[in-house]
Parts: sequence; C-alpha cells; structure tokens
Amino acid sequence: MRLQLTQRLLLLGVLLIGPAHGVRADEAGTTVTSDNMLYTDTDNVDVFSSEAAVHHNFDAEGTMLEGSAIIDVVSAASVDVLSHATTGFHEVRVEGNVSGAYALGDSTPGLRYRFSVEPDYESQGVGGSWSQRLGSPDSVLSASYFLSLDTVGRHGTPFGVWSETLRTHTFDLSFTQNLDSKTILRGAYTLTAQNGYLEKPYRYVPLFTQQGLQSAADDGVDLNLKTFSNYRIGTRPAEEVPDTRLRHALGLRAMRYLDGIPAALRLDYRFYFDNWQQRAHTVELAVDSPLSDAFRASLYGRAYLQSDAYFWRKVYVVDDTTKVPTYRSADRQLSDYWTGTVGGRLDLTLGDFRFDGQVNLAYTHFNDFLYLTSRWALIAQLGIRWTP
Amino acid sequence: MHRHLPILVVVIALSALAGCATTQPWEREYLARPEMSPDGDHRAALFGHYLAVREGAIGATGHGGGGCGCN
Repeated sequence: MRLQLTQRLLLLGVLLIGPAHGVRADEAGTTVTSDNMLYTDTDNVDVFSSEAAVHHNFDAEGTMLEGSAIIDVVSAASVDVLSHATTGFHEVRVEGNVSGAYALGDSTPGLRYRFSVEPDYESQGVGGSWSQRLGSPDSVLSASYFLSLDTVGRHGTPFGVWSETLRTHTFDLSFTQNLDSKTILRGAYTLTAQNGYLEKPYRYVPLFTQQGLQSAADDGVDLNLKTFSNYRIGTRPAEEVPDTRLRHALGLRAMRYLDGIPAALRLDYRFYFDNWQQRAHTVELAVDSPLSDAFRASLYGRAYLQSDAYFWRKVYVVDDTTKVPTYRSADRQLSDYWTGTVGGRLDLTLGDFRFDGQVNLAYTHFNDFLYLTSRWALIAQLGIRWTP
Repeated sequence: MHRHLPILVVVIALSALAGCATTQPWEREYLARPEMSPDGDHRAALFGHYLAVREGAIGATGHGGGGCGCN
C-alpha cells in the first residue's frame, strides 16, 4: 500500500522475537489473545489493526510455541497523498508470525518466521534467538538475529513489471540484571543494517530555485501544502536516498517496585543514531499499579525527539534546473521533529479472562517539514486474553 | 572510535553488574509480579506497532527474559 507499512513494522517484529509479546514463562498453559487498535489523527489517517494470537507454554522454564495474525486496514488522505494531487486510499495489510523456544537448562534458544503481504509490498523473515542465564536467574543475557527479505512494488503494477528489493539484518543484544528484590535494570543494543530500496515509490520531491523562493517572499506567501506548487519548478524527481543504512540503538530500562503505594515504576531511555546522521532520544516514564485483585491501572508519558538526516532539506534549492540533488526526500521521518505522548491503561481480570482498555494521545511538532507543522493523534485499544 | 564509546561504556557497566546481586526464590515476590515484567509492554504489542510507524528511531527495547528469573 502507499504507506508501505511493512518496511517499518518488520523492524518492530524483529524486536519481539523470542518469547513473544511479553508473555511470561511462569507457568504451563495456553493463552488466546485478541487485540484491536484504532488510530486516528488530524492528518486524515485512520488505521484499524487487529491481532489474534495463540501462545502455549509447555513448561515454566520457557519452552513455548506461538502463532499470531495481524490485519491492518488503512484509510488515508494525508499530506503525503494530497501533496501529489491525488485522493485518499484504502488498503489492507496482512501479517503472520510463528515462533517457538525450547528451554535447555539455563539456555533458551528460539526461532521465528514472519511474513507480511500488502498489494505493493511483500516481506518474509526468519531469525533465531538465544537467552542465557549467567550463573543465577538474576542475570540473563539475550541475543537474536533476524533476516528480512522484502520486495517493494507499486500499486496497480505487477511485481514482475516493476519491483525493488530490500534486505535487512537485525542484531539484538540485551542484558537484564536484578539489582535487589525490587529493582531490575536492563541494557539493550540493536544494530540494524539495511541494503536496497529504501525509498517510497510514490514520493516525488518538489524543487525550487532562489528566484522561486524570492517570488514567494515578494508575494508574502509562506510555502506550505497549499502554496508550494505555485513556486516550484516543473521537474519533480522521485525520492532518492542512500541504498545502505546502518542504525544503532542503545537502551536502558530501570524498574523499581514501590510496595508502599503499591506500584511498579519504570523508566526507559533510548539513544539512536545512524549513518544518515540522524540522532534520536526517547524517554518514557510509567507507573503500573495493582488497584485490587481484579483491577490494574497504569499511566505513562513518552517524549521522543529526533534530528534530521544529513541530506534532508525543507525545500531543495537548485541553481541549474537540469540538475537535481543526488539525495532528496519528502519523508517526514527523516526530518527534525518531536512527539509527546501520554496514556493510560486499565486491566480487569474476571476468572480465566483478562480485559484491557487503553487510550493514548500524541502530539507531534514538525520543525522543518514543508507540508505539515503539527499533528494530534488518538490511539485507542481493546484487548481480551483467555487463559483456560 | 569516539562514536562507539557510549556502547562500550554501557557494555562494561552492565557486565560489571553481572553477579552483583543474588536474590533467593523467596525474595522474588515483587520481581515476579506482572507489572514488574521487563518484557511485558503493559500497552501490548499493537502499541509498538504504532510507534514503529510513527517514530524514525527503532530498536533497543530488549527481550529475552530476566526479572523474575524466567528465561
């Protein structure tokens, strides 16, 4: 689909390798899960995502099997679409996952296979993980590798007529240590190496001359989604970015149980950098409290801040209209922006069932993006877990 | 080299932590609580779905057990 969600979502999937979705290997049994999420924002993007999963623990040590399916239904008339003078679209993406792990004493190796299909993007991936207790259960080292092979196409064009490939290797390493009976510390590092087609085939980048910018200034016009086309030159080349991207992320997670409240306090920090000279900082603070035997509530806030890639420009200015910049992009995720998110979640356990509902509100400010300066988003989710 | 210094510092610091504490099974009451699971994103997987699409950075969430002592 035109958003080509797979390219980014497969990276998320990699990070969930191993005992998937955070299901704890604390007892044998089966859990059937259904999660449904609605995303809507002020940029006219609506997404409904639904996931169904079956997870079975064979023992309390971590031997497990899991299968899951996700479907995304996207309706969009965002600035990415409107800036190309086209109308909105509706599309569907389907994803399937199978993963398993086998406990061998202090070690737990795991395997995973994943596929994702949408009309103009196909992806398949396979990977392995290894989790190792170091002497005692208080120290656990985990490593994983995942390879994803993607085929990028264009809507309405058969893959045999036009397609490009993208290969992604992801190495993940994490170490979790219990500092005492109430405190956990985790460090994690992820290296993601991508090679191939990293553009979106639907993005075309407007170019300007100094004379065009001066004309806009003389007219008293700020360049934005509605006005930019009046001042750009006729040439509008396709997006072009480097074929290789090396991405590093370092994360720290600290958790402390406050039995006086009672609640678990969690603080996360992540530093990200890559060879496109993007930098990002993420801070998240969460409080998770058991209100009673049946109810559990959590509140959290997240701050995300990133700088732009070295070739990013709000407007690309050319001296010679026959020559275009080597690299050019209209992908806002390569620009300078920040996002603040707050949210809350409530869990209710009734017998074998657990219900959860959550609401998140996110505000994003784009400091250097031609088509958009800000966006509000609402993310709501409902889930059911059945453990017979 | 200086670009990789933060990685080196974190690896050394975490390595130094290994074995610095030993909790006995009867001391893991709090560590074993669901809200203390270091893997369990309390907002579930689909929220990560949203973050993956809307944030330029990705990775370093860490998985693979720990905390309660389970692999």
